[in-house]
Formats: sequence, C-alpha cells, structure tokens
Amino acid sequence: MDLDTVLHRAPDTRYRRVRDEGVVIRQSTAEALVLNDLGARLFELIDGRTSVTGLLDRLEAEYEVERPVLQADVMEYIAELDALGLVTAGNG
Amino acid sequence: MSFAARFLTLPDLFPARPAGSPCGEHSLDVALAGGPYRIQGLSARQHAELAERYGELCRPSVARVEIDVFAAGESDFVDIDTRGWRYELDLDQAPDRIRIAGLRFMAWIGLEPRLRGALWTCVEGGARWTELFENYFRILVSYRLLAAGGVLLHSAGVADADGAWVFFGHSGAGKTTISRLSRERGRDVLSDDINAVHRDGDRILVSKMPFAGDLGRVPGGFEPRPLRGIYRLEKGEGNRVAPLPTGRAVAALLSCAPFVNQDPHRVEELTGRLEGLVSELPVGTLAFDLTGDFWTALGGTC
Repeated sequence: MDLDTVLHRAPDTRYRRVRDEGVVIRQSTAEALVLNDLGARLFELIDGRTSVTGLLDRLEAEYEVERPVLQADVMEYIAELDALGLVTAGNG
Repeated sequence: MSFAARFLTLPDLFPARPAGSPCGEHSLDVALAGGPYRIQGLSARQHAELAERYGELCRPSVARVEIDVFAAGESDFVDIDTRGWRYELDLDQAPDRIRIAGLRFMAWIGLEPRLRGALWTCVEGGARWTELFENYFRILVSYRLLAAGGVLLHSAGVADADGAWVFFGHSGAGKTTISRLSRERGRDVLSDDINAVHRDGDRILVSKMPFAGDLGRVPGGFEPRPLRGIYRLEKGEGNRVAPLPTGRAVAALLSCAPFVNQDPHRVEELTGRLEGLVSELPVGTLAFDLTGDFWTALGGTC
C-alpha cells in the first residue's frame, strides 16, 4: 500500500455510522470492527476510485491536523483494515 | 460448492415455493416470542414429540407465523457419515427469502408479504426430528424477531421480581457461570445461552427461549420480563460495571445476534435495531468474580 494505491471496500463488508464512531461488519464471519471518527470518515471515503493521496486531501480539508501526522495515522489505519481483510488494493 | 450441494442429491430441484405433501394432518401452536407460531402438516409422532419438547409453550393461539412441514424422500438427501464431522447448515439469503439445507432436511423462510416457513424432511420422528426442527426453528425465530423490532441474542438472561438483565458474550465469556451464580442468589435464570429481546409497544422485554444452554432445560419462566440493562461480560478481578460507547456496544451485540448478522440483506436493519436498544437501555461491560457480588455493581438488590 502506498500513496498511489486505490482502495476498495471488501465485498462482504457493511458499514454504518453510529454517532461518532463507525461500525464495519464483516459479513462472512459476523465480526464487527469499531472505528473512531477519523477511521470512520476514512472508511466512508473509500470508494474504489480515489487514491490514498486523494483520501488524505479530503481528510486534511475536514480535520485540523498536520499533514504528516494525518498521513501516519491514515497509513496505520489502512494497514489495519488491510490486515483484517476489510479493504483491498486495486487500480481504480 | 454451490448452495445445498453438501446435503441434497439434486440441489437444483430445491422447492421454489412452500408446497408438497404434508407429513400428516396435525398442527401445533407454540407461544414463543415473536409468535405465536403454528407448525402444521405434522404426523402424529412428529406432533407428539414437538409437543413434549415445547411443553407449556404449546397452547391454541391465533398464529402470527405459519410453518408448513412437508414429506421428502430419503433419496433427496445425501447420505453423510457424520463421524468426526463438523455440522454447519447451508444458508442462501435473498431479499425476500432464505433457503436452508441441512442433514435430512431443506427449508425456506419467506419474508414477504409476511413471514412464513416451510420445511421438507424425510425424518419421521425421534431425536433427529426434534433436532432438525429446532435447527430450523431458531433461524426462523431470529428473522421473525428482527421483523418485529427485536433480536435473538446469544446471552444469559437473569431476572428478579422487578425485571431482567441480559449478559452477552461469546462461548467462554461466562454466561453459564453468571447464570449459576445468579441462581445461587435466588434469581431466575431465563436461558444461559440464547434469549429474545423484543418490544411490546414502548416496553422492551426479554423472554426465555426453549433452546437450552449448558445449564440445561428448566421448566417455566417463559413470561416476558421488562429488560433493565444489557451488559457485555468481561474477564476481570472484582465486580465492576463500565460504560460501553454506543458504537462498541452495537458492534459487540452484532456479533452475538445469530443468523441475521450474516445476512447481507438484513444487517442494516439489525444494526438499526441494536442502535435503538442501546440508546434506550443501560448498556455497559460487567467484570465479575465468583463471589456473586456483581449485583451490587449493577445497582440491584442482593
């Protein structure tokens, strides 16, 4: 995963915003993952078309956080989502 | 492997609608949360065995949900050597129906215009019959409860004169232990495995289900109780309650809501139901030890 990667949500996931958190449900295992506000917003923005750079641009506009800090947090989130099989990398 | 191929010799011939030859002319009304349920088309033996299985829940009612039982031939089913075999049903979910295949049965749950069920089997009676029926019945009840605004939860339900608490968690979380401790303190244990949370107007109720856990079947106690709180069980020292944020509570409950939580067409509805429950009830985590003093932490009377 790098800044040019385009992310897709895994087909067996469902997502719902619950107040200031996000709940991602992995259908095949009936597991649910809770995301904080930033993680939830990141997941909401993953659309199979936008690169990681594009996601960072959107988040930077919405959150008052320095770009290097944001990028580190987002890359960590993406690695976690990838490890859990909730996102896949594609070509857009 | 395609749907039902493990269980049916001709899976492509799975019945497209609830039709066939009934096993017999008997019917049984079961007054269970989300119901009453009318099971019809039973043979005399099937009827007698279900009547014994569901005991006091069997009484003539105006049924809300009908389940038709049809006869199938033994040759319709794959002969499976079950030694050392892990049994999992095959489910096929669609927006308007669910198909189920298992050992010596196939079944259907129609959701529109109203929920109804159908089951085809070659089993005429005995433990195999009650077991396969209950395997199907649990799934149907989970869908019916969801449609009626409730949810079936893997949980321990414990009640006193004022109401009931639901303690949830996966196997090994302590549901049976907390049930046993509660019983020793004079509380009523609903089920230590699976309970129904459902609504009656503005009230949120919990009802014991006749699907026994490790504590086994105890007669009675099926009347709905007002639900006073929902707590996720956690291992720990001492007895303490901690808050559980809404998102985490919904996520934790989702994983304990069997069958419907694996249906892609129903998970949005289920999440919404759970969010509603969490917003209306005290919800938290409960760590408990073997002293049984967790009731104090819950704010109850000892």
